[in-house]
Amino acid sequence: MNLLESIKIGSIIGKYLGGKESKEELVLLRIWLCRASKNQEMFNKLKEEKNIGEAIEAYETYNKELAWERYRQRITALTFRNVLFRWKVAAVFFFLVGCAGILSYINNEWLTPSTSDNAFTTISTNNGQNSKIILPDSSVVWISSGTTLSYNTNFSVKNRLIKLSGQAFFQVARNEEIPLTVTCNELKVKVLGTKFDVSAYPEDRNVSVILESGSIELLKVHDQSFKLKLNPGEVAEFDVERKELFVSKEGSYKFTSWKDGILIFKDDEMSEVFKKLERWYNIDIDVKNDKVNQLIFNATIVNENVEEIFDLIKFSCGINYEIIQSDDPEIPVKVILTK
Amino acid sequence: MINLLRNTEINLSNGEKLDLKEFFYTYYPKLTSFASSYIVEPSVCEDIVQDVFISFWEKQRNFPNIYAVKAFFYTATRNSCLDHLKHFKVEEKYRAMTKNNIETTESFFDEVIRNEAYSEIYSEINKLPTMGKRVLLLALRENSNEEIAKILNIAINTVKTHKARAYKVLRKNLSDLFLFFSLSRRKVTEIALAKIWLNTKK
Repeated sequence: MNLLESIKIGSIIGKYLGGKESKEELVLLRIWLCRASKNQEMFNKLKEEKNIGEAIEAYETYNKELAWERYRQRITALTFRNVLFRWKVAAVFFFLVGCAGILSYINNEWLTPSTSDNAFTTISTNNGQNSKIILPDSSVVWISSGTTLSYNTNFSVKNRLIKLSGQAFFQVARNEEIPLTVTCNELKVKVLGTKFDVSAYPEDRNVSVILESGSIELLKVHDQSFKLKLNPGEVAEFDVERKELFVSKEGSYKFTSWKDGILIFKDDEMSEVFKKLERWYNIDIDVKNDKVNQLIFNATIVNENVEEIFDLIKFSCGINYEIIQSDDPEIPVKVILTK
Repeated sequence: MINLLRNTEINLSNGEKLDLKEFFYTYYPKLTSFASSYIVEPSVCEDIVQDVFISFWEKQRNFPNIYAVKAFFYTATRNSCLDHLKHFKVEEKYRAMTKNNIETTESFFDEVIRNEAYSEIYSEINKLPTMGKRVLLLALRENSNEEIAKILNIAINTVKTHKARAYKVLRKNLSDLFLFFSLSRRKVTEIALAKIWLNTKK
């Protein structure tokens, strides 16, 4: 016997006493009566008119109309309280939104001159992901994988300031009155309008600047007197530790081809190649044999997948590799190189 | 659940609707009477049942069907009554005064059956005209027609008419041993009946 059964059998007995039971209910009642002699006793008691009268009289002693009125008032009050609470929440919300609006208005109107140069908009890419953005002055920037680029909020109003960590190719809209500067570490690149590439990954020793067309000026952040003009096709490499700048005339497409989805390796050491592949494909490369790092690698990679690349490396460097996929998308694919 | 009480219907997850007012009118007397099997003071019983109804309204949870709602009310009322007794540390004293000397799950179920059964009749009786209801109640308490006529200050024939109409809410010849005749054949049908019981339990 459980509570639900008791409720069901109770209402069946009630229907029986009122002569309103269905055939099925009568069957259930008979079964219940057969189950225990105690049930039969109870049933006999329940159908005595005297007991029915007594129970009904007991029910009659309670003023249900009055009780309902009391209950109705109480739940109305509760509902009202809940509605009031919701309104309060809404009121507080709108008050805060209003405050925020006023504050930001004050901020814009009065505080802009002092904060504008410090406020930056930041864009970053993960490894294995390239991106192209258009700056407010309609300059175009291709952002390579694993790069963070920020520009000041009122870009192109008074000045054009860009901070870079990683690699990006710039196609700068010409504006001689407001020069564009790209700052990375100690090196500043000042431009009027041109196409150039800056690679300044924090883990790399060198910051390299490659000019494709136009002209740019290189400046050092902590050395006001320093100034170097770069000509098209030239590559400037800045040693971050020694703070020295080298300029060489190298085929620049090797450095800027990434923006077209092409990766070119020409007489590059494997250690450099691995670094680039790690960023390009968002993978982890674990080199078990150090000797591999010193090998020189030449290749042009267009749309090849990771396996195809490592098949090529396996073939040219005489090594074996193993690719370990991970279930967690946050953890990059791991490639282990063995001899 | 209730939109500022303009709508007193409560939706059950099986699609049935429960009219809160109608439910209150049958369940309030029944539960208060049920509570009085634990606690003697009627005012305490009424307060307890009021609070159970409030907590039902506040919970706003979805009940699968009407039986679940009823079960909630019986369980909540019983728990509130037992809490009340415990709280005032007068358990022993009250228990001695209540009808059931010791509260057990068994006696709880018996009370549930009793109240469910009588509330079915009660809701039918409530549909009667006032005089018919009064006549029936007096008749049930074993008053003769003459006595009823005297109490209500009406003619005996009027009592008879009311009685004839009012008694329609009850099964004819309740005191007959109707069910015993079917019990004699119980062994034959027991297995088949048990099957039906099991099916309907689901």
